[in-house]
Amino acid sequence: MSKRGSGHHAPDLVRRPGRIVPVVVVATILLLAGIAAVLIGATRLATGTLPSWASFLSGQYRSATWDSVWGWVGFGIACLVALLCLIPIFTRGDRSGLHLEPGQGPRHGDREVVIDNSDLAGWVERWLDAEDGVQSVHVRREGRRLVARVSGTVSDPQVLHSRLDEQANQRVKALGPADPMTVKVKVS
Amino acid sequence: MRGTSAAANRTRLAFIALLALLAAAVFLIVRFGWAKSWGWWQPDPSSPVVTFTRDWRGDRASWILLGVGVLLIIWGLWWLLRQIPHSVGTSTYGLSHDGDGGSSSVTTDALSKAVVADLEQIHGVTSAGVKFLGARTSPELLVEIEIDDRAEPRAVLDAVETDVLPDLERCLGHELTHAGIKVYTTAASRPSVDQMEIAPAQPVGSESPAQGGSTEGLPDHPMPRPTFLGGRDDAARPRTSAGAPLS
Repeated sequence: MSKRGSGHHAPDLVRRPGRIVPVVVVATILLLAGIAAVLIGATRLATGTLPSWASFLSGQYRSATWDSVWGWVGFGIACLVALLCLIPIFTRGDRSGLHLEPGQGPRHGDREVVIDNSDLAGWVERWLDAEDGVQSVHVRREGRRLVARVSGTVSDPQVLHSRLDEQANQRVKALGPADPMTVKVKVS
Repeated sequence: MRGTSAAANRTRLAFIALLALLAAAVFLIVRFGWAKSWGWWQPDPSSPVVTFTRDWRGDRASWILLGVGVLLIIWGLWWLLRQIPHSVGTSTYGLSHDGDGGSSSVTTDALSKAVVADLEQIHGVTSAGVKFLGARTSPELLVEIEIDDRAEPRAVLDAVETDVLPDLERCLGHELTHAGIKVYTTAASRPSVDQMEIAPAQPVGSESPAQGGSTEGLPDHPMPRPTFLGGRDDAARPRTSAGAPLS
């Protein structure tokens, strides 16, 4: 199986979704909160009062009790933050590529053979586009399958569908994927 | 190859989620007095969530705000900077071979070029790239190969495994600890000019020359046969007004 082993420096060639956007949002909020705290603290040290844009905070902390509305607002914000952080963690997301079986040969050590989703889709798409009766085609990976949306020029789409479906699956099988990958052809 | 760490990002988000859930749990426990019912100490629900003693309301609170602010800035900047994709570090190590007459050393940069040349010799491979990682005694390799649509992918991968990588391992003197191969695909390329078979120019009216460079069948005179000098058909001769051909 061409999956990553352990104890090597090379990075994985297949990436899971990076969750970059939520982390950037959290990091930006932390940064802005930090800048605000530094400005408030520095102004208070220098002048003894809060800056004008933060004057509404003066004495507010005394009214924000555990049984007040503000307590519930804080509780709601905490729950929302937790939810927005947990959703990206548990959302599976598609991997960036497909593992292939390594070539036959005197293999020593670990092997990882990968084709990116975009290259895989393009390879299948160009082949389907060259077939008789195909006007246009768009291929995209969706989970464990490739979905090919074909626009045909034949009067009976079913004939085109059965031919393309069988041949497309054979073509992907010829790549030697490590995990099963099926092609679903939709003819319109 | 560049990338960010998805696993580290999931850990960061999990940490923030845990802090938020903890804060929410503490609020519920205090708000409904559950801790008190269990015999634990808890703040009075009617007291402020954040409170300072009189001593702490002066400059101390300002210094605390400054300190917390600086920590938050560092924390936020660190996480932001970690999102910048980093390139995979490559290793350059030398291989020395001592012979009777002296020694030679080859760096992995030079080996990369040789491996790329080998890869591009494989039928169906249009371009290749190679990076070495690891160390001399435990070398690792990252390979990128671009194949055209007409290529047989399994045949290409078999050729890499039977020809290119064993040659490299012999050269390194060590087996590869890990080899990552990334396959790119490209549309079938048009044949270049020097790959096309250009038929030799044929003189007008002569038969086709034989293939394969033989001179058999080539006309004795390469120039076209003259059609306007010497004899001419009577019908083509200029004539007088009476119709008699001119000499």
